Amino acid sequence: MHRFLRFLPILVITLALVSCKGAMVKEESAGTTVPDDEIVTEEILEVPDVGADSIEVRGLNETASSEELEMKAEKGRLYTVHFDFDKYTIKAEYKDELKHNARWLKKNNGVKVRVEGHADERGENEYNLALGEKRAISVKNYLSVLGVNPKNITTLSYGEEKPLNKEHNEEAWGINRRADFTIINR
Amino acid sequence: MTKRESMNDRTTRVLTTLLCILIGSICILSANSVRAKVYIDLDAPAIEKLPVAVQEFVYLGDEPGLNTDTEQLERVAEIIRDTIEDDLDFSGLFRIIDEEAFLEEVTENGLNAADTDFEQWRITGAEAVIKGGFRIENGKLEVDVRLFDAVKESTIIAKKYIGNPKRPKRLAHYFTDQLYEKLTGRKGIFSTRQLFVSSSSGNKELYVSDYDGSNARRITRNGSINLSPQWSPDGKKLIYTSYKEGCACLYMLDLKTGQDRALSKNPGINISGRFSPNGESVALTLSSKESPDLYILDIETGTKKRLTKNYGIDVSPSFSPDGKRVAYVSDISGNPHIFVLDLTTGKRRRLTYKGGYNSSPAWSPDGKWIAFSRASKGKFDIWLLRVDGFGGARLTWTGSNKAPSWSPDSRQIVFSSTRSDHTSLYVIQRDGTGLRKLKTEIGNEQTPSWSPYLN
Repeated sequence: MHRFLRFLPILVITLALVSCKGAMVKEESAGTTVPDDEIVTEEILEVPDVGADSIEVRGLNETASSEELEMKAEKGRLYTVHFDFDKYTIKAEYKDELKHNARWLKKNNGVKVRVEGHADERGENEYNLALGEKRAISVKNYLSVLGVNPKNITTLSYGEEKPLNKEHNEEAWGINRRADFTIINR
Repeated sequence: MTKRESMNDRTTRVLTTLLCILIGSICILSANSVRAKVYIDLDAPAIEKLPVAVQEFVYLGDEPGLNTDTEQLERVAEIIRDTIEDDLDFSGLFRIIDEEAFLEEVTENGLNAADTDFEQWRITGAEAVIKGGFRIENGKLEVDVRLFDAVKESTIIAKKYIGNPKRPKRLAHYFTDQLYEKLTGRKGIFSTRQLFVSSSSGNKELYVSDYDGSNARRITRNGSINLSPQWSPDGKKLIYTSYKEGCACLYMLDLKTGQDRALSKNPGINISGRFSPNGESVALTLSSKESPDLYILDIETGTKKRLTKNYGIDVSPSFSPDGKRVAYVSDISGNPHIFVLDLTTGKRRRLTYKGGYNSSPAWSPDGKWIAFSRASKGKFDIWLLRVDGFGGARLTWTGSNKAPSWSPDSRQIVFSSTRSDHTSLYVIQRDGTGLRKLKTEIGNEQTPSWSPYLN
């Protein structure tokens, strides 16, 4: 715990910086800076709401309809969850993210969402595809336990084919082992 | 006589007849093997390499005129000879004698045994000598080849091969196939091909090359992610998983017609497809029932049968050559291990116990071995196990080595390796010798599949 406290100021600064960048960093902020701590997770949860909408709007107001913009903004609030190596059990520290995702999906009942499972580059291609699928299914099942209509959730695995971070180290692998959300239609 | 006794009687008669046929065939077979000399006994515990000399191929056509592209002729001569030497070397069964040591002059009329000074060849250490010539006639390449036994001073092969002048390599491979069969009694692999994935174009696309990696060319251009390509047993089609329609679906591509159709488009993943040995069905992993399990899909009817049913991952099936068993990867014991499923009884047997991560089983075409990759400390290596789970042997020691696939003669294994800068394809003999890099030079190559015999 003491060790953690030493890092707290750095985290606070990081979070502040992240807030400024707004929605652009939504997925990385869930994974990159914060691996394994509940307190940090709580603080991260606050981040995307700050200025997220306005940035999205500025970037898109030429072409996008207001409904689409709303969707983009809302999509930014569906959190990515991360997994341990060769595991597909949902870690307790991501409970709040998934509860939040479930609340949003129930509020927007009828929105179809695809959970996309990913693995890090270690391991073999085909096994990683199956592993990514297992991760997506775990998330889907947990969301339906939380009351989301399972008919609104499909799964797809990309295995190790779509890494967020292409480096070859523990940090990158941690970021890449994930399940994220894509809204298919409304 | 009771009915039962007459049944027994008939059984005895049938068995006696079968026994006679069996003994008869053994006699005929052994008589045959006495007649045809096997120069290289592939079943011997240790094989001594046969020293072979390949002479420069001579041009036998008309006097080159003004319009003759003499450089092309020189190139053809060089390609034929280099290809034959490469093939022989690749097999691991021959020692190629350095041309520097040759004593006999290359002449234009010396292709036959009578014109050959065998004593001079024997001085160089050669026990087999290959000589040949070629001409281009009516737009066809004609290659005249001789294979001599330098010790017995006899001709083993004297044949003319006719083909496309743009593809002298193909003719040379074809000849080496015949040479190999003459000398070993088994089919040569020199006309087989490799199928693999590369991401060098920016997307994971499928490529095909000659067995040694040369002539590599891209066969998909959909700009999506294409994975796990596998040959059909007749070598005419291939199956692969692609995201080109937004799903992880399984497709079958006809290499002759170019026709490409979806074989499996279930929700979730449709991955790790493998043809059954008779080519009528495909084993694959589907996740539509909430967990990645193995299924068998009938290609004709589209009906599917579930093979495994558990909470965990079941993936990467590999059929035994008789089609009765399937080796696969399952994490049912906590982490990935190799299991063998008996398709008749439904019984499952665990094959690996060591290593935290065992994957990509590949059943050898002769039925005796299962090659797979095993990770320790984050790096994979290629391993062999006998089908009974004993006799484990590690074949690789450098870099990370994955995705083994057998040559159709079960003597070599192709796999991907990170031992050099990029991930590239390598081949190693089943006994761990003769490691070599394939000549693909595409870069970022993975998941090779060695074709069946194509001739």
